[in-house]
Amino acid sequence: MSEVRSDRPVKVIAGAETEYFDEIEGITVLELRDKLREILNITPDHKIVLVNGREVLAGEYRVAGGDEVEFKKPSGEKGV
Amino acid sequence: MSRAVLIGLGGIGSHLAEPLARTLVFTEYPRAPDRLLLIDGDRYEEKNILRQRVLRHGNKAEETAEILSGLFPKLSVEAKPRYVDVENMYLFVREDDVVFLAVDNHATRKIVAEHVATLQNILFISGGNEEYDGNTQVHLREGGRDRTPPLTWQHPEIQSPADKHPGERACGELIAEGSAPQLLAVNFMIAALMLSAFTLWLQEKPLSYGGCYLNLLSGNVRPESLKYWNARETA
Repeated sequence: MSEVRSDRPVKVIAGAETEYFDEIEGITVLELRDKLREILNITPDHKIVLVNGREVLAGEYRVAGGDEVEFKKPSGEKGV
Repeated sequence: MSRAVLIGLGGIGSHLAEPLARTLVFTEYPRAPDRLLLIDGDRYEEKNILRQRVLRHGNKAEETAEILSGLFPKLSVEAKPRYVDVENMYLFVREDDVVFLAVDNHATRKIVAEHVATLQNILFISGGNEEYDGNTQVHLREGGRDRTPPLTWQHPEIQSPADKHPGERACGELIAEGSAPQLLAVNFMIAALMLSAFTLWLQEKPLSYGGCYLNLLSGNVRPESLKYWNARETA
């Protein structure tokens, strides 16, 4: 991913991590997840994907400039 | 008179208990509960000493109550050496309580979340973690309305838990789960974030987030924005 130059970058969130990317418009959320899997530590447990707050089908939705994409991290399960 | 109810006295709960009790004793906010109820059906084991204060390997709620009563003799502290379940939930969590949930399974989270949804006024703060990261969720109900999202919103792992309630797990399952690595630092940070949300509520500050995610490896803490929740409410 290149340094953000767009005035409408895509914001990608996974857990505590937030990154901004440009030059990724038009790819599906599924493809985005594959590209960012290691950068943002996205695991198969991130089943819910939200775009601008609404749940989408990862294989169908194509990212647009200015979108906020969140790979929803499940709640931590340990703690005892 | 309202109560603070702390469910789960393990890695997160044990680090939350004393500062929570101290906050209840030494703050003068009108909203501050004046009683503390500790609930846990589990017993301390030797391995817990790596992250928690252990007295005699007894019940976690009872040992923690003993410690807190010694530190804060003027605070009413009660212990229930039980796991919460659908049958006793209504006894342990009541209207106007402040509930802190620090358990290790989504099955219990669902039980508590569903009960909370039946109450008119309650502050419900849940915390959990994995080895290097974790999150809190803050559910505030006022006048029968959700001011912040319930635990199950956008969390299917809680809405339809795949794990078992601790009362249903076999000994081997409990042992296997207890061996999963955890870090005291992460437990401690989650407890601090839970106390932070409670502190804001005590001060009657508006809650601007529905919880937080943290990652020890990156050093990041991200609040969960309420912008989409609020937009949903007004749509």
